[in-house]
Amino acid sequence: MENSDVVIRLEKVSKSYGNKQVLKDIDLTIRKGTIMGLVGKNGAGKTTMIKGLLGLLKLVSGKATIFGEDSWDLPGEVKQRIGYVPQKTDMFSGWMRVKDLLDYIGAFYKIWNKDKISKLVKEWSIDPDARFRDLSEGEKQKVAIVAAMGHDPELYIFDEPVASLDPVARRDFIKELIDLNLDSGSTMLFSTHITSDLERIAADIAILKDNELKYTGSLSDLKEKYGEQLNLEDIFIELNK
Amino acid sequence: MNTNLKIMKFSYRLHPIASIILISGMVLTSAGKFSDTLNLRFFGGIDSLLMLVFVIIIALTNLVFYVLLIHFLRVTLDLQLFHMVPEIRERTIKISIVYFLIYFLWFIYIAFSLENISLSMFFITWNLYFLSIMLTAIFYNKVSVYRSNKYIIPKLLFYFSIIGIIVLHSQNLIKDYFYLVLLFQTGFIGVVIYQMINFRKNFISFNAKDNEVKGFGRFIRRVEDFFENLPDRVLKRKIERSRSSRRKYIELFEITLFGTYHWLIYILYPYIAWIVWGLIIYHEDMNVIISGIPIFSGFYLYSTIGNKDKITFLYMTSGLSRKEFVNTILRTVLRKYFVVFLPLLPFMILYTYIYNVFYGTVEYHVPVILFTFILAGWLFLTWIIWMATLQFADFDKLTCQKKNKLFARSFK
Repeated sequence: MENSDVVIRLEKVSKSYGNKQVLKDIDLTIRKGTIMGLVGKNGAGKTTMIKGLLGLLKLVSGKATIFGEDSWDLPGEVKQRIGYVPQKTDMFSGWMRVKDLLDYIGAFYKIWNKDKISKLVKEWSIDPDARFRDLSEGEKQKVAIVAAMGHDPELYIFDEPVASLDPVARRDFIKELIDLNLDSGSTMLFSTHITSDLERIAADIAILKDNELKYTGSLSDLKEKYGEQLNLEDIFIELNK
Repeated sequence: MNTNLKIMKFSYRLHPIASIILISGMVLTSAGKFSDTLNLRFFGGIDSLLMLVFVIIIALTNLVFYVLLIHFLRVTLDLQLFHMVPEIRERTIKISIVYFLIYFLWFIYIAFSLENISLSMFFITWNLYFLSIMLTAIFYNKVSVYRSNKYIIPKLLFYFSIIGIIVLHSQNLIKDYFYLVLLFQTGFIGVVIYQMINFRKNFISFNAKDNEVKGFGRFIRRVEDFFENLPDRVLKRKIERSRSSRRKYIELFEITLFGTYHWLIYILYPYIAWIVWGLIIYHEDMNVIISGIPIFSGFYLYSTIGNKDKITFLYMTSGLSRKEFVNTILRTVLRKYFVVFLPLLPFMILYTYIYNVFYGTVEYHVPVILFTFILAGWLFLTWIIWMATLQFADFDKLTCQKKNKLFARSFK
């Protein structure tokens, strides 16, 4: 029976490309208000897992649900409750100016928080008049993050959102996530290599290795298991030896 | 890669679509002149009605070349990024000369193949006059000599003298006109060559610190700004309109899939319709082109709805279920086809009427039926591609990641 505070559920999810298995029997439950960090080496299957979860690719077996709805056929209303930032920013039309691009994305949603968008654009030093194609990779990533926040989603899914951000921007981003989580109880799933960010948020952790989830739980429990003196990066390296 | 080659690559990528139009125009007209068979196939024979298409292609190619040239020269002069490339100005001039020589040789070849010496000379002079105007425009605000009469008056004198002699000859008022034309032509070319040498010197030594523009330059800058900002204005209007529209998602999808087009594009419709009509009327000679259009259209369509990043973005942003989403994509594409192609039909009927007034050989139903036939072919192709890519979509399997990479504007 579906628990009402479960936002994301993966049950025995598997995916392969030809003979190559990418995900194997993944089980994961994320409850409302959780910040879950997804950690794994390059090619561990983080992006595939996120895409499978969002119904962007077909799973070989298992079941993925978001807000209790089957991922492969998410109703429109459910999608409007999700803010998704993909790994790449090629999805936006480069010729648009940043402010127009954000307005354009806003037109898709019933609710669009213009004040919040303007505040973030200003705080993150994004030039609203610049054309998207003229921005640096880091700035593009910032725009993608801002765009995902405009409709005040209940669930955020970030696929390596900080890969191109400088340390200041990363800190601001983490702060924004914490504020969002505290203010509106948003649920967040984000994949990253930068384990120190996860420690700052004190998020729950899911570690992918060899196509399987090796650990799911709180950071403190993980540290207890491996030793308090080790940080997450040390544990991650230890796990991947 | 050699620096000069990199600059050449940049110049091509500055306006890739225009570059393709230029090269296609040059190849098509050269092929038409080189081979009678190709001439017949592409232009229905140079003496036919489609001579006009031939001339329009030459004129368009001419215009595109000079716009590309002036923009290339201006960008390398003004863009600070380029100031770091060693001897960028000298390199730019050398590359521009190479471009100009290739282009000009082609133009002379085409002009003389018209087999009318007066017309050929007029074409060549007109071409050089165009070059001269473009060179003047680059420095109009920046170097005072380009605002003086030093070039303008002698050029105009020579130019109008040549035209005057040709007109007088056509009225049988001057018999032995050739040497007179040659004399004025030489004078005119002399002024243009002097201007080119002067331009080269100024271009290389000019310190581009003065960005302030006045007079005519300000007008040019405004025109440039107008066209630069045109898509933004159209976008804003479309966004506003979509908010209260029943077809909200179709209108929003269209922006990401096809970009925005201002209604001014319809000014080109009589010209486009004329070419399409010409192709259809001469369809027996135009099979290569007619069958090529749906194939090109198919590639374009696939690069649009097969674009993984854009489709993923639209799917995740829209408040539509999977089934509604893929159906809306199809409706967007079909609507776009009708909006783009159907306005051609009234023009084609008009051309048939005009043609019949003079020649009286074409039944009205011929262009309509053929046009409908081609449109139906496109629609069928669209449906097939949609079925293959999106109908049973695993969006991750879409392969086109960058829309129209060939046409992408890039500084890499």
